Amino acid sequence: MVQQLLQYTKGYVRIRVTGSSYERFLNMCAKHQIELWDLLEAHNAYEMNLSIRGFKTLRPLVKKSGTKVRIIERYGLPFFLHRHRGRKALPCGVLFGVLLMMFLSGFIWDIHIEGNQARTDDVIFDFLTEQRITHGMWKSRIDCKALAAEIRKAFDDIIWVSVKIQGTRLLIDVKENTDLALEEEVDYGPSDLISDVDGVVQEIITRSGTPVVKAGDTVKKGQPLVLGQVEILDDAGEVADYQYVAADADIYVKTTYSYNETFSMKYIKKEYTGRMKKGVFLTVFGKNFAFTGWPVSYEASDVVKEGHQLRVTENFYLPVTVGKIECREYELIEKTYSKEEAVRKAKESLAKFLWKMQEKGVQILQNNVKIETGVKSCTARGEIEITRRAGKRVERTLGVDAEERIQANE
Amino acid sequence: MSSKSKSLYRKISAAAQIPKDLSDGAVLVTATGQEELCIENYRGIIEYTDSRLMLQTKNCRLEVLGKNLFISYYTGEEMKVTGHIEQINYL
Repeated sequence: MVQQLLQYTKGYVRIRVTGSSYERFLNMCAKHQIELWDLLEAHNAYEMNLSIRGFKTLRPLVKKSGTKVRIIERYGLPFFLHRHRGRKALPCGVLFGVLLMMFLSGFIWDIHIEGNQARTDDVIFDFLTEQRITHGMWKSRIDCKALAAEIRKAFDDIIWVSVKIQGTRLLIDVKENTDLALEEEVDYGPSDLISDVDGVVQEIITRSGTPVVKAGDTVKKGQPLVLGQVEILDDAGEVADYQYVAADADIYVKTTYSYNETFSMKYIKKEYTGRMKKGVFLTVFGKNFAFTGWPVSYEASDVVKEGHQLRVTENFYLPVTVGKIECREYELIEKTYSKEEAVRKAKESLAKFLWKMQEKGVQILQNNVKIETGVKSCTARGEIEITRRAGKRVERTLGVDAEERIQANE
Repeated sequence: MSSKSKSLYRKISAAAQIPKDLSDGAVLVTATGQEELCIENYRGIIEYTDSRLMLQTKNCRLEVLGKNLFISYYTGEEMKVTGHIEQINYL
């Protein structure tokens, strides 16, 4: 392939050699290092290819061997150019093409990001846009080192960045910190925990502060559970001072939740009639052009668009979207649940609700929900016994002692 | 070279493990299947038609018989013959 290209650019001719001592001619060519290829015997003569340069040194060999040589075909770029020498636009076009290529290679046409897993491409692209790094910008405007530093600064979890320009591509290679970052503990000021629910305390584990309830106690909403003050006792065992901290504890409270859900037995169902019309659409710079070829005559219909944004390179999206457009007709039909259907629906929604509660870490102890169906509506009602975490952080209410001290100071 | 010095030369070159194509100028024929033949170390072409190719080498003549013989390329060092090869004879 490469050799053929080389032969084409240098140019070659196909010659026909006639005469009796053609072997001598061939051997002399070999001796003078004239390369021959595609030798073929045809009509008592020999045809072969050789380069232009070889052909120019052929004259003495032809004379010596007593053969006759005729060119039967000319191939290659030099002949092509000679044939089209009169065409002025051709070299202009070639020159223009080369210049255009040189000009266009001064821009960034592709931005490739690699190594990111937690941070999506979109997030990084948004950051790049903020930094005015976009597709189609001048290559010389990019300071790779500075950009790498900016990326490191902007994303804490990216620990290593390499930015380089390869041709017209901007390659950004990042390495993310795969070690799980420790959850930063929020530093609360001195604060108390109060109950946000009515119920019975099941379990209380205090990490800091002074608990004021114990397991088995009944608590009301708003009642303090853990105070953010710790007594400091003196040698006599009396309270000398208080240390104020952020109360912290795991408190589990048994409580009941009253579940109540009602829905009408009548409902409206959307049913597709199966009739639909198809078309294509085009969005250019936010402007929509639909080529549907039909006036929509449906009373009620859904329009489904499925678009594909055009792009030049991997991540260089053009502001042009093309896609399919579908218009599906539907009818609204009023229906009534049967008793079984209503019960099933109520059960399903209850199960969904319970599952959601469990997702939040709530333990379900007992479920006394009953489902009743009437003519007009269906009701699911009852109490659910649960154990859940309780405790709401409030700013420390000034204790009695503190007030006293303030008064004393005054 | 007399036959005595020739045999000495051969012994030395064999001991030095010089390939025969270098020390003796032996012809090197590489056949790939029945369709392709690569030949090195020859002196020149004696005869070439589409059914017969005769080459002169240093020590002997090489005859290739076949059908539609076609020389893909031919230089001073190497040549490649394609076509349907039936016989390779050393004469």
